[in-house]
Amino acid sequence: MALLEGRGLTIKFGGVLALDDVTFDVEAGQIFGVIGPNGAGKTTLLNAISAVYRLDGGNIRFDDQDVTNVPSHTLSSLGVARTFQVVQPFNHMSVRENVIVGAMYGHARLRQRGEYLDAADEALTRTGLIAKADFMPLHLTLSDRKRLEVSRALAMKPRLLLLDEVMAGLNLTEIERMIELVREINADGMTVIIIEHVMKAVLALCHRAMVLNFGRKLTEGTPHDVVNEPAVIEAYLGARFAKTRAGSAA
Amino acid sequence: MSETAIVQQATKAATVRPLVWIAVGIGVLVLCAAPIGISAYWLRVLTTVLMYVIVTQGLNVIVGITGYHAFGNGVFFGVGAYACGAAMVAGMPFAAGLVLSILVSAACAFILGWPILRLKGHYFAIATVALNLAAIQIIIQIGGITGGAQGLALPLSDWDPKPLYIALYYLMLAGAVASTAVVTILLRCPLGFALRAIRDSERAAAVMGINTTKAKVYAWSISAGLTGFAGGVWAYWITFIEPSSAFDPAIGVKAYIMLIIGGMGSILGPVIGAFVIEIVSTLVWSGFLHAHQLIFGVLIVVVCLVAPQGIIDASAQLVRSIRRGNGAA
Repeated sequence: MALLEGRGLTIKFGGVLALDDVTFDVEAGQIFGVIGPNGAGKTTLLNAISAVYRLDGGNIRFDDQDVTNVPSHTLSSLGVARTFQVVQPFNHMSVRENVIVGAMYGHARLRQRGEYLDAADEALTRTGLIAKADFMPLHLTLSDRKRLEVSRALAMKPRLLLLDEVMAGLNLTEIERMIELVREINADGMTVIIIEHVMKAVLALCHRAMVLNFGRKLTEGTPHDVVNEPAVIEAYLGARFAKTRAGSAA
Repeated sequence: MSETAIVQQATKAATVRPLVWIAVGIGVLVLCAAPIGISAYWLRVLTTVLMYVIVTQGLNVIVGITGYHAFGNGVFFGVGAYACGAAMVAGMPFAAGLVLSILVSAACAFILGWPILRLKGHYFAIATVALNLAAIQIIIQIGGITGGAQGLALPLSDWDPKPLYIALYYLMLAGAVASTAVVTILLRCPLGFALRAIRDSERAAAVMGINTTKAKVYAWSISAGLTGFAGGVWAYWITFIEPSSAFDPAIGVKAYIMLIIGGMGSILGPVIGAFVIEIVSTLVWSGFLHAHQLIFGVLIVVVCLVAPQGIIDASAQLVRSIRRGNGAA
């Protein structure tokens, strides 16, 4: 049985099908990648899974429990955590306080001062942000703000972590560090779904990858198989390039 | 700013904190002793100041900490006043009336909060103003124990005026200290963390497991309970209430100005805001009888321009820049 099952997920914005009948399974312990060109519906899918958007069709099961259109906070207490592509730090709270919110609520629900402080510092140590625990988020670089997003999610002690483009806007060294971090988190047994444009990260990390295009699922498989599929190359680089590449391969 | 500078700044802020609390302690002691040495006029001014400390702390909970701009929060002042008034007319003692002031106001916010707190931004602000104005009409229409448009005369105390006014002063002082304590505790407990998270990003707060509607309803209930207490004491103090004075929208607006001037979301901002605004307004009023509104308005605009984050924040920055100056020298 999969940890997360999406069946026929559909979301409409007015007349536009942002997500059209997308079905997928994420096994426990996997790193599951979602890729696709801009506007393919990746973030919409993540918003659907994390209950930020309501589904117009289909259903989602988490840990064999129907979580279709439950409130965000219920889903989070069941053990789903996410980061935001456009970082959403609590700007009037210090880095540590931001992370404490995750430990107090989320899946962890730690209410003893010692417990939530420890959990917050543990998450910050993990992401390498502990030295800046007393900073305000506005004083952080983008890379550190992305780390803050991950720290908050980790402090929630989730079973499923959704990472929305945590690599975007980072330089090569920072991407290496982030890849290493995701790998470590997963090695500890956390299931991860990542949405990513940085192919290098997808290829390095994911056990499986799903490709979306115009809200529809194009294909799914191991990352290497998926990126070599003509339909995927066509979606990213256009039909002509796919044809010439297929020709040269033959 | 370099990383070490930011860390140093944080540790320095921690060393200032005990001094601030010592100053607050001295301030409370001075206020405790104040009735001995001041005239009846200044006792009344100080009682009003303390009343506004309570109302502004109540506003601080929903506006400053939670980020929901309840322009019409004064409605709970009226609810508290009428709850206390009606209870006393019905024969209950003042203490029971006060408990009802808190409970009825909090219950109103709790019930109204579920639908209204789903509104965001200016929609919520306007809804609270509508509540405030609607309450006036509702009281007039109900009549009966509320006295309707004719107002409500509370039973007179059998105490002499002087000890009575001093007792009410101490009651307002106790309320001001208690409401400041409520805000202090709130900021340290999980609910406070949830409310501050909601203020900064409601969406992120929800995704992190906070039941945002519930947290907001709790916040507004606490806010209303504090405001209602002030209204209850006020009703007994002036002994005659009517819809247009108890539900005067100017009460909420004045508290709002105090909150902005003092500093939103801080513990002592509402206290400083209430003292500065009420005392300055009294002095301006006595000094410039005909133009006091004009001069008062100009003063508020100047403070907003010089210290847009409030007096608390501005003075913290001043301390910081003086220290930096000393460090460089």
